[in-house]
Amino acid sequence: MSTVGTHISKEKDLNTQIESFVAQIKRRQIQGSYNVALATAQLLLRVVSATRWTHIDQLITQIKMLGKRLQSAQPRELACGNIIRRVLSLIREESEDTNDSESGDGAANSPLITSMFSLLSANDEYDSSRMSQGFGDGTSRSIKKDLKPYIIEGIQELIDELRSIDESIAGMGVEMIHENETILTPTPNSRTVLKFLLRAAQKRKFTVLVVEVFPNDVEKTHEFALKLAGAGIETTVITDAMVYSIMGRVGKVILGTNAVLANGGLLASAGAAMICQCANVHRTPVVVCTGLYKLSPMYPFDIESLIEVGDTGKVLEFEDGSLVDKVNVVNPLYDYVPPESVDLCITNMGGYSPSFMYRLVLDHYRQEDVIL
Amino acid sequence: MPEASAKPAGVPLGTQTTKTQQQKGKDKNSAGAQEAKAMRKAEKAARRAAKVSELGKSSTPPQEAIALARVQSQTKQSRAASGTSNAGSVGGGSSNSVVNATASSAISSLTAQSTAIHGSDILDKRVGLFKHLEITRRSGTADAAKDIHPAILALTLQFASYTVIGSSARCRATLRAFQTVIKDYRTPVGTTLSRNLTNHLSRQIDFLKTARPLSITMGNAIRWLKQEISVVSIDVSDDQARESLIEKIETYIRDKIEVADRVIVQSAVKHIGNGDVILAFSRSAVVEQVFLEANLRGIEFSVVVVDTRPFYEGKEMVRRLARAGLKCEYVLISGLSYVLNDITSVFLGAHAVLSNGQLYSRVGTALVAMSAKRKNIPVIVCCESIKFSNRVQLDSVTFNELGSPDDLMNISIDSAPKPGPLKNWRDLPNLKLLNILYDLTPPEYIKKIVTEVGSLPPSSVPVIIREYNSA
Amino acid sequence: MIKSASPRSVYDTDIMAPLETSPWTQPPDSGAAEGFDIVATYRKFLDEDPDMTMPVAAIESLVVLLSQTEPTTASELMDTLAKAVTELKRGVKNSISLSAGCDMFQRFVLRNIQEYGDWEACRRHLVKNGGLFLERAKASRYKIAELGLPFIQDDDTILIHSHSRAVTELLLLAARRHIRFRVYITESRPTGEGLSSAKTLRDNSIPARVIVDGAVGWAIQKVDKVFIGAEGVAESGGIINRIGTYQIAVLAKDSNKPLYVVAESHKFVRLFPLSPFDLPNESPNASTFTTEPEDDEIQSSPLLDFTSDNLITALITDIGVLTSSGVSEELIKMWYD
Repeated sequence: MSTVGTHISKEKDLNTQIESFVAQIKRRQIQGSYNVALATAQLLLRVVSATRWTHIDQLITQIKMLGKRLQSAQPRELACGNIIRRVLSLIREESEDTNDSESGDGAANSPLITSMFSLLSANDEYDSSRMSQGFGDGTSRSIKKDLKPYIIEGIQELIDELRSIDESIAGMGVEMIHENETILTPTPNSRTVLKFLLRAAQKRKFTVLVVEVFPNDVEKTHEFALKLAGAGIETTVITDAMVYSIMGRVGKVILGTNAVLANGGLLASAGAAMICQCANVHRTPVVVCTGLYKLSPMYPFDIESLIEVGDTGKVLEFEDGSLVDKVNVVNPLYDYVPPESVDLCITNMGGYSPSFMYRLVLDHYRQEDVIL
Repeated sequence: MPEASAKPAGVPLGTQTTKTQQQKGKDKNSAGAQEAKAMRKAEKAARRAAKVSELGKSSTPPQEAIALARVQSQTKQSRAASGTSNAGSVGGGSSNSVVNATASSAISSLTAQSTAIHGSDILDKRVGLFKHLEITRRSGTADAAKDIHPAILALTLQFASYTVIGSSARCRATLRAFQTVIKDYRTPVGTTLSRNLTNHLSRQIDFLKTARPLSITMGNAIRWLKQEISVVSIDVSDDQARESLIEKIETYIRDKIEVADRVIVQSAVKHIGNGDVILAFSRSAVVEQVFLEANLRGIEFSVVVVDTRPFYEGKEMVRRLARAGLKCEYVLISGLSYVLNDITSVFLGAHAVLSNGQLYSRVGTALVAMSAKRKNIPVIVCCESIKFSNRVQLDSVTFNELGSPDDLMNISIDSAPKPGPLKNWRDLPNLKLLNILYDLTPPEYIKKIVTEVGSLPPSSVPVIIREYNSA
Repeated sequence: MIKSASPRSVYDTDIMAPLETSPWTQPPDSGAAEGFDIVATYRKFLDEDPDMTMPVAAIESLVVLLSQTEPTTASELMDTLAKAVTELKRGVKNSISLSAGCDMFQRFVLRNIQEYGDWEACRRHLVKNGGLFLERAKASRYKIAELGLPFIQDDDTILIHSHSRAVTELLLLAARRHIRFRVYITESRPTGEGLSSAKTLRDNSIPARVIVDGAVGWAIQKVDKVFIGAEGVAESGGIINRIGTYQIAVLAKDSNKPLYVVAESHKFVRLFPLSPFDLPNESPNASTFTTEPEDDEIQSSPLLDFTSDNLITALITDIGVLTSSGVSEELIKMWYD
């Protein structure tokens, strides 16, 4: 009786937590993909601890539903969906591990064969037998072994990974920057880039050109410059328009991003595409610093739908109101940077070429979870 | 209504003055008093200059005096007078160079003066790559020698505050001022006009240069004028000589700028067709006229104006185009790639076109041209042949013009200045702000240059220069 | 100086290498079906079903061969296959696509034997499921169409080259899903296969316009994206395809238009050509020069060219939307353990 009661209250509690989280991301009260990722992981931790399930598929369905809700609440914050998918893949992995060890014929279950053989292999038979087996003893399995602590441990590890992400990326700074180099950064609102540069500055002396990315977050941009200069780094602030004229003197372009897409393309702050392209024509290497949580299994089919448009009042304020309806003012917040513009992605798992990002996607997400 | 949009320039200027003074006062107490004194002197000089140019109305258009008044005084009448917009007329479009003085430039002119006082400060704050370039901005005319003509004093201030901006407009304004100078010129005893007037003009030019470096157009015009003066016959009376020089300048302005613009407009307008979406960067007087002409011809098209800090010249253009009923879109350069997909062609203006085919224009032009080229969108440059220069240059660093770094500290997008987190940037030894005014667009990004002598690829620029110089 | 390029035979030596060194390849122990004509079987498959691609026809032919032989050892099985494959490759012009199927088939049998040791079970499985492969191949085209669907948007102008079943399937699916778009189709000389593509599309109410191959440069400005099929996908992620593909890809790159390759994964082939001259030379006349008029000049013009991976935006395959390194990964996984 009492256990059932506490369970119900727990669920209620959980629901209000979910409600408030959805509301928060809807209203953009949680800002920055890092904070969203962390908050999502913490929410999932609570969801998994509070949920009871008889079969693992129930949990998966529930989390998928939650993912769908979060995604529709803020379709442009990809970090949310990424974390959900990471956790789903983690749950699936745990459940398969136990499945394999129990059934004992793991070798037969995994047809060892690459996807190219799908035409020839007898996959279908294996799959159907596995499915029936799964449904048949699903309940008994979950009784035999409780997956919950393993999943919770996995999410906990994910949270730890998130917390240490900037550290592991920053560690590569020294390898990337040489003495007396000039670095240009077109994303001065990125905390990953800030930490990267600050860490590198402990061992190297270099100059940073900070591009303003006017008009969004210009205060943050300027504070970024103040922080760099405060740490003893030679810092010069330039406007967006000046990038071409100075690019010839730049050693590397280092940027942060909001998301890395499955093809290695980026969704970075406005102006980044133009600046990376400018680096390309000057043969200046472009380096992206990003945590793995920004890696999305999405492919940029429709770029325009991915780009959020911001407050036009930040761009143009006509003193004369009559012009407002005649002029269409645009203030895109993001830019799509195609993979061919990027030379290197530095992640917390190491450095990769953008053409290899698809592999990291396959390693961290399940195909069946791509669409939540 | 054109009058309605005239910017209340006076108010922000006033507030900024006190702000800047406070800020400087923090830096160095003594500087504040010194600066205030200099300011008063400057205003007095400017008022004197305004009066003079108003007297000489016949040869000097009222705009300059008014523009000056806009910056320096705050009277309502002057603002109303300035509303005489001639946006519609082809010739007048560029003469109406009274771009509303952005507050940022007002700041810059004020702080530049104070920084000139602590010369050592500004040296520390120069960006290494650009140390060879000088900041010559000034705002006061108190130190002017007696023989500097008031019209030149006024013009110098207008240049320094970017009230008169754009290379055609500056050239025209300079020539008009020279007309006044020549009109008031009296050959001293014991010398001849052809010998002495050149020297007199050189002194005026040197003073003008203390505001901003000469534009290419100004350089070309001055070279021409000196040549004209040198061939004035000794037999002609001074009155006649002055008369004829003033007349020649008038013709020069007409031929090289006004007629040239008309010819360019007629030619460039053919590149605009129904359904086109055309991108323009910042503001160019002649490009603006091309759009207005296409609109008059009833062509259905729209214009995307891409603009940049700190001058926001594109705002003025978008305002004029929208008023003429054109469909416009306005975006800052950071949003360039977002708007680029639908663009059918790009129209650019020029500060100068160099002999090696490079386009020297408002900083940001190169990025726009590069992005367009990458999308295979044709880039068309509209440029009077007076902007062609013998110079060759390969990058934007060796030769450029520095604006005041303080313009970057202001994060406002309208006339009310708003110093951002960088307001105390001078206190941080490692922090620098770079403000260059021009960049160099390589010829491979440019499809076509439309001039009054025909359309040509960038590689043919030296051909025109040869023809032009020998003519 | 103009010299005729000598075709290097990257092909034969490379592909066969792992088999020759494998323990399963031992001196032939005759036992194969003597009277069986693999080439004729292959042709029959292709003739009977217009939907069948060359690699699938090759696989089906090999299955038929397996059903008619009674090998006594694993090595004999492998040997029979190897012989048939060589024969097939030799007997068929334009063998790149079919060899992708053969190679995969051989590799599959070998891997299964190595892993389970039960070669007889493997043979039985293959023979039993003979007809299934064709179904799966068709299904994989449908899967590609599903994966590729988001690449097509309303109001797109699409350029396709010649005829490709996978591309057609994708476009038809898009039309069924009520996406409205227009298609430019190249005529594709000298076979004129573009005309048949146009017919298929128009029959399904997709507005189409056939242009001559030389008009691609004219049309490219108005095109939003390019879809190309493939005869074979090389290890580099480049593609071997109907002649004219390379120049279209170059034009697309110049105009910065995305070019997507639509191909089934069983067309991935273990080849790494650097230029079209690394491909088996089907038309030796094309690299010789003569002062005499020649009658069948057009017919002897080359049929295939090679488009390198740097010109390709992405490959839409049944195993996902891949970058070039995705292709090499799949091939590496298949050939090396």
